[in-house]
Amino acid sequence: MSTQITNIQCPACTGPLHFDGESGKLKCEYCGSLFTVQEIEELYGEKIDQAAQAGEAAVETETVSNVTEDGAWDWNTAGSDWGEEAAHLKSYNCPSCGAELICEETTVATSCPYCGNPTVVPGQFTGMLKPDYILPFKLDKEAAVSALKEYYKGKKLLPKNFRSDNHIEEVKGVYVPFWLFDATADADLQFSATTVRSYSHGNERITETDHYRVRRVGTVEFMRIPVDGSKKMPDAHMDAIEPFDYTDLKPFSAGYLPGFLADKYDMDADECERRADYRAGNTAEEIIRSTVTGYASCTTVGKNIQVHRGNVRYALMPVWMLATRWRGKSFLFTMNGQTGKLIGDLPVAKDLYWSWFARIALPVAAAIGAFLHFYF
Amino acid sequence: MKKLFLCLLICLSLCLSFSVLASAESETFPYVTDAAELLTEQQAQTLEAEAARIAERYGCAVYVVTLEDYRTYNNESVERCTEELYHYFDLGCGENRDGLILLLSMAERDYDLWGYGPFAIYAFTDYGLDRLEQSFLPYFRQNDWYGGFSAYLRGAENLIAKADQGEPEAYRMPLATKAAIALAPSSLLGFLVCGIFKSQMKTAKEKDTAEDYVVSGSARLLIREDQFINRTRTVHVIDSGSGGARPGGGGTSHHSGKF
Repeated sequence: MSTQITNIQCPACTGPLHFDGESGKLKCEYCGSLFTVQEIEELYGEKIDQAAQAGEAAVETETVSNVTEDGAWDWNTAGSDWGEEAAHLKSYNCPSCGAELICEETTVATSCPYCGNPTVVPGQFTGMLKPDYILPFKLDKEAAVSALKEYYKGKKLLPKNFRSDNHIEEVKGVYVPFWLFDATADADLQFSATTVRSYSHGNERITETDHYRVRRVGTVEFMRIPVDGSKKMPDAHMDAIEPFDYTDLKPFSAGYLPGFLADKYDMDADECERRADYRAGNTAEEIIRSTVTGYASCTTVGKNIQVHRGNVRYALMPVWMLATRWRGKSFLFTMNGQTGKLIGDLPVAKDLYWSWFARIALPVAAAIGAFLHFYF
Repeated sequence: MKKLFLCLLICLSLCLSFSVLASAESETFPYVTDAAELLTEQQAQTLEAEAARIAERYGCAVYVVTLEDYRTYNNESVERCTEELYHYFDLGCGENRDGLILLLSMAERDYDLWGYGPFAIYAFTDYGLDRLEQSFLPYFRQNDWYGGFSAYLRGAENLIAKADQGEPEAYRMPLATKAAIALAPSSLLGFLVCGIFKSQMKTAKEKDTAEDYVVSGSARLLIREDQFINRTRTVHVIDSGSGGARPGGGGTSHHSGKF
């Protein structure tokens, strides 16, 4: 029986390969050989296909029950029923060391926790759409850790011991599934606007206000608005690391996956399209609204936004996930694996907050107080 | 005729009340003129001496005038009566005729406090005159005339002395008000800046817009309508801003009322 996991090995030394963002090639961790994605696809294409077929076969045989009832041991006391959780887990054998790997059903690339071999799970693509594009990682793990340290700088309310005591628990390079939406948004906006002119005549100050009814109708096209298709990825984190530079998009190849984790989507495009519609509509409104100029005031009195949906593409985007822990609390930081933009929520030190408040407010209060003292 | 009558009446009262002073300085209007006869002769002499000392020391006269009814001399108002009295008798010290006058009219218990001359305007600020009023009015309400005039002279000398030292009595804002005014904007600024610092700590935010994904040059305006509806016009009359009425120009504002 074919294994469901493909361990892409170095053709030169059989060591594990992983995708190297700097060179854009697959690199052997042991002998340092570099191979293009196309070369590896040619060598392992057949193996990946076989693994995919094995995955399908495994799905068919998973329904066979192997529960026995010989009465020798009371196995009812050991463990408990996985329940629905079991439906979201799959097990595989590492082709390098033979260890059993348990991963989520959405995992398409992972690494063996025993031997460290990066592995691709092509069978996981079964029944799902194959990604159209992949944006390869450009920045490595060290860059992510370095970016996190840099991120702490200049944060005036960061607890003093956070840097030293905050332990990085895990750094993962993950290809996150994204839906890329093309759309055209039409905006029909009505405004109530005024211009004001003031002048003096004799001992009178005259203010003339002209009232206008303003209408703007326009259209704006969007290309590849990204919306992450993974339930476990926080939307706020995924939005905040945008934008991605699409000029580096490549047609999908499993050859880019080794060395990183990869998930397949668990939210289909229909579930995500509302977020794309919302963002496109808001942007169209802003752009069309910006053409109303020359008025002293402008109030929106009516609007009709229509988003015409276009092509949807499925892509895997590079994201570094950095999980840290400080005083029993978990903190998640994410970094755009292409641009290096890092975001994440930091704890706020209340003592520093009030200290800064005092440092700002007290001198100002003293200055105002002194002014009042001398002049009033 | 009215002025002449006023002059004669007051001179007559002067002669009767302060014959000693009048004989000594027949050309000088006394600082204390008690036509309403509220003071004993001794009290009047004491007050006169005190007022004379102040005028000599600071070059600013402080007058007390009591009348039975100011309407006898001026039907218009107690303020006009005070001014007429001051100007008719050419009251005040020096070329600028600096001085302060307190007039009491007993018929309806009216009073008026008024200063004249550049130094008087400098020394007797509105706030200072308010304080001065508060010092003598309680005595008058108790019919303690000598006590009230004494308090008036003390208070007036205090105001003159402060002005003489270059620091005329000015409004002093209460400490609590100062503290409130100082703390409100500074707290607002503190919260604003700390709010900015705090916002830097939370960078994971969902996006509402997609401006990064607009196709370059794709934004097109199809309809552009700017329709004039109507015009509204408001007219405000500009206040000429004369700087506040000071009857009889060259003087302080009048502080008058009932006691």
